[in-house]
Amino acid sequence: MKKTIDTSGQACPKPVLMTKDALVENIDELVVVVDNPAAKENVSRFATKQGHTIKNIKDVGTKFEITILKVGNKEETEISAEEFNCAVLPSKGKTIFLSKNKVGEGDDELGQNLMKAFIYSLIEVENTPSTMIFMNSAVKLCVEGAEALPNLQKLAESGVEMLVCGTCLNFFGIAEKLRVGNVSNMYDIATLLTSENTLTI
Amino acid sequence: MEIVITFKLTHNAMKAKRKVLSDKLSAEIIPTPREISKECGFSLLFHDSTSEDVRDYLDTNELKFSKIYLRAVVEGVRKYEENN
Repeated sequence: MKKTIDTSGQACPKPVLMTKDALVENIDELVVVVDNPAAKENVSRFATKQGHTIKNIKDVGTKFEITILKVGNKEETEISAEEFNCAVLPSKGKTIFLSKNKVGEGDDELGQNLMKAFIYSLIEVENTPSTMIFMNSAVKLCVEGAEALPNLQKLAESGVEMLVCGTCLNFFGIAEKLRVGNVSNMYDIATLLTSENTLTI
Repeated sequence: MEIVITFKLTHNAMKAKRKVLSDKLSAEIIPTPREISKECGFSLLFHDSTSEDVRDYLDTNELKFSKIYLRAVVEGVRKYEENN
């Protein structure tokens, strides 16, 4: 029995999970449609690892059709998301790391205006970041009364994740004035910085 | 109406910004829009005003500036019109 599943639009690791569920059914051939190269790699690798055979992979427009021949009825194996290269998503935006509330050194007022202009431009450019991390004096951009606050709130509303250093807010005595983003800690921030594609301003 | 002011000198932009800030006007520094100039620079965006009011304000406060533009969205596209 042959079955086809379409994983288009599903974020990693959903395509693999959908493949896993379909393979458990009483079929001997499964065609998996994916819409990105990372999913093509992950689904193929998963099927092979489970002992099945990849009959062929067809390019169909911007998508791929992976035909898997099911070999026997394997026991369900637990998959962990870490096994799959979910970070390799072409559409994911950058993480922007801000460690001060100004851009560059030399003149503080100029630097702060540059930071304001930079944040404003993030709203308008095509490559919107997916995450912004604020540490040390950069946390001052996120509190009540900050000039950049309305624009940061606009970015947050459009889906940009904002992580703000809790220790830093505490140090400056402005923790209860935070008006955008979530308080985060060094472990979460370090995990993000070391695994994502990051830009430091 | 949105009004965008351009400046020949960065210093003039920053001085104008300090003044609008202390007068608590609804205005902010933005990067100079590419439609107006390919050069780097700060411009001042007044969120809701008229070119007359803005011109009066800048002249009264002796704030040097270069040009005044009206900014509007026409059929989904932002357009700039110079005001003389």
